[in-house]
Amino acid sequence: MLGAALNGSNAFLHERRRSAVEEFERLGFPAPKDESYKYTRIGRLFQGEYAVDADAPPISQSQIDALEVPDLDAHRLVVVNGHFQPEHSRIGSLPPGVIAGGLQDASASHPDVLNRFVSKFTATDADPFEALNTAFVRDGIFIFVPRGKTVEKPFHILNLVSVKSPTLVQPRVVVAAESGAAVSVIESSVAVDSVSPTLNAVSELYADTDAFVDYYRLQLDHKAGTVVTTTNVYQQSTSNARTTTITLGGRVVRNNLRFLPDGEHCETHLMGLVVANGSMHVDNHTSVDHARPNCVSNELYKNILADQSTGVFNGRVLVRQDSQKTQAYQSNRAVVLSDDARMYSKPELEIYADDVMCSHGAATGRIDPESIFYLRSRGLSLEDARKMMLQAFSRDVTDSIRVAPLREYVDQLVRQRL
Amino acid sequence: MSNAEMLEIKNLTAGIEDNEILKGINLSIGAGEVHAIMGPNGSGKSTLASVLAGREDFEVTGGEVSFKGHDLLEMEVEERAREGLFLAFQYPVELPGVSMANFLKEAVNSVRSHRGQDALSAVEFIKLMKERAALVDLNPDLKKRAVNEGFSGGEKKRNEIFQLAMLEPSLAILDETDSGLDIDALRIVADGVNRLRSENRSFLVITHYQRLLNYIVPDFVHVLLNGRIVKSGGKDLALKLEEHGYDWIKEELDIAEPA
Repeated sequence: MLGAALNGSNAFLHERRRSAVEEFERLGFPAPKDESYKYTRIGRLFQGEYAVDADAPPISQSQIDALEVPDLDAHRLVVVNGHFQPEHSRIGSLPPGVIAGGLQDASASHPDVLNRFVSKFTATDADPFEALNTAFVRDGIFIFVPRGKTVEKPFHILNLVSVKSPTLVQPRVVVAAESGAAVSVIESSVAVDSVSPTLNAVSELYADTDAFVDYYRLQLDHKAGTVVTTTNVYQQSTSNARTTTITLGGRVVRNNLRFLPDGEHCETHLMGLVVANGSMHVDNHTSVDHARPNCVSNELYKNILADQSTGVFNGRVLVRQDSQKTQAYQSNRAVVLSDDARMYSKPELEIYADDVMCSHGAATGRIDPESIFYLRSRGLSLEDARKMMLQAFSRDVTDSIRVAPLREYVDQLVRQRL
Repeated sequence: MSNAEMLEIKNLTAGIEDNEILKGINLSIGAGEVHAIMGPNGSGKSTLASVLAGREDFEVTGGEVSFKGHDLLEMEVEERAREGLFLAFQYPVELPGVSMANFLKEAVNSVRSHRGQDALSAVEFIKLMKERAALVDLNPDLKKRAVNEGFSGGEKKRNEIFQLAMLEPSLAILDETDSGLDIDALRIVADGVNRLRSENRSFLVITHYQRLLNYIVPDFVHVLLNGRIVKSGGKDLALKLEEHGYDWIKEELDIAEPA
């Protein structure tokens, strides 16, 4: 079963995958009573028959160009149905020692480098979707930035899904920044010409000592598809890792994010924005394990929920006993635009150290009618006033996007959606 | 009134749920005139301002309001604004995340578009902002700030007059714009208003205190008591009210104290 897969002659990966198969067999898809999938009964979505892999159909250049972020000057990496597409990619020149390209290629050309990272940090609370991806992954993207190097332009991974029959598409992205290295990665995913695609994507981010990793996950139109993502972030001391998850599409979306700042003086930022309508269901499930002292984590998730959509936020922050001087801040806000939209918010703070600064806040509400009246009294239409307030609501997430053309683009997409 | 009519209120009654607050207001304001409405707490002053601006919390139960010949009560909130009615809020709203520049650009251009004028270019808009902000001594850097967020009480009120200056309305209603202002801020706000007075622009100044009317000298003063305008006069009426309170009017009219 694993023959045609990623590992090829890479014995290390072969072993990783074999144990992932066992792990998945043990775990299975989340059961209806699984506490961590309480609000997103996702197991039933995987009950039908589907293929666990699909070849990449031909994609036209214009389809790919349509997904470009305007004015974004980036190293472009194209992935179709989980397979790296060198002919559509435009990597450009990179500093010496930087590796960027297909995961399968890297497994053959740089096995020693790749093996240092793949599945190095997997969650202690094992998740079946991550195991499933590890077990069956064939390809994806590997980005490696060696010690002290900065990649000035961001990488843009265009993750296209195009399937004509039920298929589980499982790309994997591994981003590793050695000590003092800096890298920004944008991963946007979208379904083209698809019927109910199912995406199970895993991204692994490694920030060694003093490294900077800035990662954006942009979830665009996925038709009626199910999208499950896992983002595992491992940090060494004095590193800075940022993730921004923007969800604008997908029928059922579940994003698992796990952070382990495993050294002192780490900085961790988790930002998220959900704009949902129709019957969309978006569940962000985050976990930060403050295993070391003197680290800061800052988490902000915002949800705009229209129609019959549902938002779920679960934010776990664990501050271990010896992790003194931890600063952990979490905020989850939601605006519901209809009586039928729902938000479930569950902060989970477990604090075992006594000299820490931690806070969390969750609030769900409507757009303030007095604010709308104020704007209308200045000549704005009801529609424009609403949009202005919702854009303002999402602004502290969009403003935190450090790549300016991406910030503009996301702002534009959000405006279109409102 | 000798001048062209700006606002004509006839027997206006309005309230909230079953509670009638305005019990038959009659008021005519001509173009270019400044009218002051004074009255004790609970007399209906702010309700009148809210009803005119179109706040939906209040239900109009009777009467007519004509604004520049149009039926005001038939108009949406934003239509009233575009047609040239401006309310300076008693409690200006903070809008975190909405920048002053963005907000004003949309507001000014929606009003201009209604008047058949072209949208202002970025350069023209910035020039206008700078010029009008100076009227009320607001720092022009405010364009980057969020609307009213972190503004002091005085800044919020100056910001209302600044918006008035930007939108160039035909009728501006100042709802207790003087409340909570120190004497310097009061003078700045009043100076700003005075410079905006013109033969085509009317003001309805709602206030509790006569002191504002030392700076913004009205053409007419009306006393609102228990939902009705019970006395009208010139600017001297305000002085008399300051000195003697409202009791003498109640006695004169034989109005029972509201329960």
